[in-house]
Amino acid sequence: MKALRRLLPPPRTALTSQVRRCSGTDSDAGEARLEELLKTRFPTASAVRVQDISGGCGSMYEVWVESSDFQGLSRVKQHRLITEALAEQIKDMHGLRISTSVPES
Amino acid sequence: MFNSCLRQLNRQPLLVAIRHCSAEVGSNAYLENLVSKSPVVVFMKGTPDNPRCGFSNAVVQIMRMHGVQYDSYNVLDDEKIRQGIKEFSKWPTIPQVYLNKEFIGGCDILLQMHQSGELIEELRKNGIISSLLEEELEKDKSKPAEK
Repeated sequence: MKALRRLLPPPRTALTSQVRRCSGTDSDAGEARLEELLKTRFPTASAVRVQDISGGCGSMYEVWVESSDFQGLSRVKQHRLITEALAEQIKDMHGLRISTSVPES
Repeated sequence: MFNSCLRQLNRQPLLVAIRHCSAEVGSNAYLENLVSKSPVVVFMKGTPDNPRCGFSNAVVQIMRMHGVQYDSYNVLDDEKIRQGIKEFSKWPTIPQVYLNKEFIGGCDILLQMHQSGELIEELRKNGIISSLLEEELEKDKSKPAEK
């Protein structure tokens, strides 16, 4: 029964990607590097957070940035600021999830 | 060049017409043409019936919920389109959604717009009535009048 279950494809979920498990990872270093890049680009940001969501493979990240730099900008423009800041790193990624916000005054 | 492309499109199936357009596949002119052909255009991995990526699937599901008709292009079919659209949109990831020739975002943005209700409003501004809005209007009609 267990052998059969291993042969079946994992269940699909509509809104989440499938996470592969990697062994021997430096995902903490990858997250720290991206956080550093974002903090350099947005020095007045009130919050910056990066999480490896690829199971430690460094191939997919989720980033959250809260900064007054985004005030008055459309979501597309806000997210473009992020993708421009991480342009080189994104080339090696499978995907990137972005959340931006403006601090509450 | 574009007029001859448009005449071809009216007479021929979509894929054949695209090949007859004189602009090079994946060039800005070529992509400008693609995003002009329908009010809503989605560049994705896979097709609406068979998405090949969770993020592309999310966009497909959101469009389905809103009952939106759209043209979709599978970037996995053509590397020139896959790379070209990233340069055209100045956006490094797929999927990408265009509304009346304007790039409105990828999966994250579309999801946020859907959750906040902005997507219904944005569609309405562009002459598209979301199924979810229609349902709300129907519910309002069937409510008993207040005294």
